[in-house]
Amino acid sequence: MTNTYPDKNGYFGEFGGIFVAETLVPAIKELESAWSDTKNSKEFWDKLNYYHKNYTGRPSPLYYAKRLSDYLGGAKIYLKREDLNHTGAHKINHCLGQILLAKKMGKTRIIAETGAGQHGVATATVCALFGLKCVVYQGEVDIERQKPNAFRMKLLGADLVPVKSGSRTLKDAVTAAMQDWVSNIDNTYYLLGSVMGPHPYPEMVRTFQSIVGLEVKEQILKLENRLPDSIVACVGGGSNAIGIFHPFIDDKEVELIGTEAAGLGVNTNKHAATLCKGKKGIFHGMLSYFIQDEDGQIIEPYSISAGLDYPGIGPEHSMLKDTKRAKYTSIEDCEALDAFYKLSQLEGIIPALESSHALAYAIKTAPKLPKSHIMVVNLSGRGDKDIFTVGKIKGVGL
Amino acid sequence: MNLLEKTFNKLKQENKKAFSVFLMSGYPDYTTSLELMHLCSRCAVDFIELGMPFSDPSADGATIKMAGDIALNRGAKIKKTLELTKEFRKTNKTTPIVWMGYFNPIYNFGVDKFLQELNNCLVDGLLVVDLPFEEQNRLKRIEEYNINLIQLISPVTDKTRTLEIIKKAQGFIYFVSTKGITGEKEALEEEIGNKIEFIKSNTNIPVIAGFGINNAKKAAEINKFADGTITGSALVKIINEFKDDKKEMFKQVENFLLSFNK
Repeated sequence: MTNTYPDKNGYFGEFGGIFVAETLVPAIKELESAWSDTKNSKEFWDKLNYYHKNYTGRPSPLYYAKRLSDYLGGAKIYLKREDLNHTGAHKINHCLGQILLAKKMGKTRIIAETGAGQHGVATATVCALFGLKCVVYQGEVDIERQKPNAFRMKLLGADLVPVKSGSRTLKDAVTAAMQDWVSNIDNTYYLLGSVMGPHPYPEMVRTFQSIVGLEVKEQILKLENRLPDSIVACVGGGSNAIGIFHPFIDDKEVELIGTEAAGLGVNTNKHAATLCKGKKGIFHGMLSYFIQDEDGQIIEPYSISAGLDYPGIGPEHSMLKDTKRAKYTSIEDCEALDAFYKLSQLEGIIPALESSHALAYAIKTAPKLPKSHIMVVNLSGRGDKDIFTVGKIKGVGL
Repeated sequence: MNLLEKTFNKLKQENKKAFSVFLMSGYPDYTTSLELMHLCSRCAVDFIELGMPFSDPSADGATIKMAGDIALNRGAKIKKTLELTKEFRKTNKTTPIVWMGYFNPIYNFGVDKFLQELNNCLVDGLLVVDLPFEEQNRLKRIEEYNINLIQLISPVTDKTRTLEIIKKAQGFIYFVSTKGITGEKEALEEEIGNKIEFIKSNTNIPVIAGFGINNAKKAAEINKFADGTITGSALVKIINEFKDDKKEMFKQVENFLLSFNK
């Protein structure tokens, strides 16, 4: 592997680092040391792979979306079916990895933040599986717009704590989880849900999510006997995108495209397009791009999809943007909704609103591409959780 | 020697403990926060910690977050806090001021320009909550000025790291006296006594405790070990409670501050 990021201080180029209060440093150091002892342990990976296969149902299929491709009349579109994983999204990949690490560290209490609830559900699931106490922080606004997931977490035995400060969305849930961690570092593991936060989280979550890209590589070689021309994934914090991008970083011929949430439009104040519209800053433990005002105050983001509604992005994405290895673009709510309907009706697959942002890019660009172009879209999650939001927009009471 | 160092020298000679408070810049509004700073210095506060409001203060509880949000709504950006400091210094040349805040506003303002401005306003110390010493080379140029970079040590900082931090310490060491965020739990002397004694046996720099010190009795308990205390959330709560009656607010704040010096 030629990709050597992050460096020993947790930097991806100029991004990343450990920007936390001294009260959290011991917990971060403990995690860093446990992670570095674990990441090369065969026993650990054997155990994790056992659960990936037998519990989650990996590998997830790489599915040729023939009707969608025919309809668009251009690129050949493959969908990486992370929506078929147990719990319905890619989040289970890093939850299984982290819960095994937490067990190894002797932690008895797990905390997590969640936006759309996919990470919260996956965390509650692995806590039930391993018999650990689970506390999930979710913004009040998100609990309201993702009711099924809120209920699922409770069914799984988690304590769901509504976060009432700030914009009452993902940003505030992350802050609340970090504050809980500071107060309970002796027995508590913070199971962070994306490739963000202080080192070693961005590297660790990437490593656990890379299984997605590694599978795609093997699958596409089998199906097409070559690598894809482009890979598309939505980005909020960036976990599913890094997961599918990372194994292809050194394959320069593969174009990598991340789609951010443009909300009501990047020229309005209602968006979450961090890389397209944000600037460099320090927040939630990392140096990265953030949506903020001229004084460095974080601006509350907006997206129809709770999972993309975050004002920052993982540091590795910031590096990939600046080095131009990946391209980042943004998709408006209405385009994502259109993709949501199209995939449902053309392929019989209801995608998550988050993943619909990646699909929307495919729908926009595929018609202009030749039929020989192979595009892989990471279908990071399923859309059952979103039917209430979409129903409301359509004026259908559920 | 800056005002902070002078103050600690004097306290040491008189064998006295330091008493400090945290005020949020621009809270409840610009003018009142300036008046509160002057009131503090009249009430024998040894140094003032002046908070730079930040939208998402990760180490602070609900009280200080609320104060910061109100201040920001009223325009308390870095420039306003600089103005406030300058105006205070016009008539007060003796009370040390330590700015306390988060790194993002500083980074956005431009670190070099920020340090120059702090120096122009005669600020004595700077504490950046989310800049552990691994990342402090970003503020390296503070050495060119007469401003102390204040280090934090927490109850969970191990001995090796404590010794490393001590090496970098200037002005005073801010000892975080609870495992948690500001204004949430009370500091517990049995948890922190040994830690503070360990620090003090390795340095002559004063150790000042903050977090969870909400009244004079608690401060006296902590002062059995520490060289002084900082009170923040408890004071902000009083200001908030009487925000509609300024006269009463000042009276209550004065009583509260004087209770620490009895």
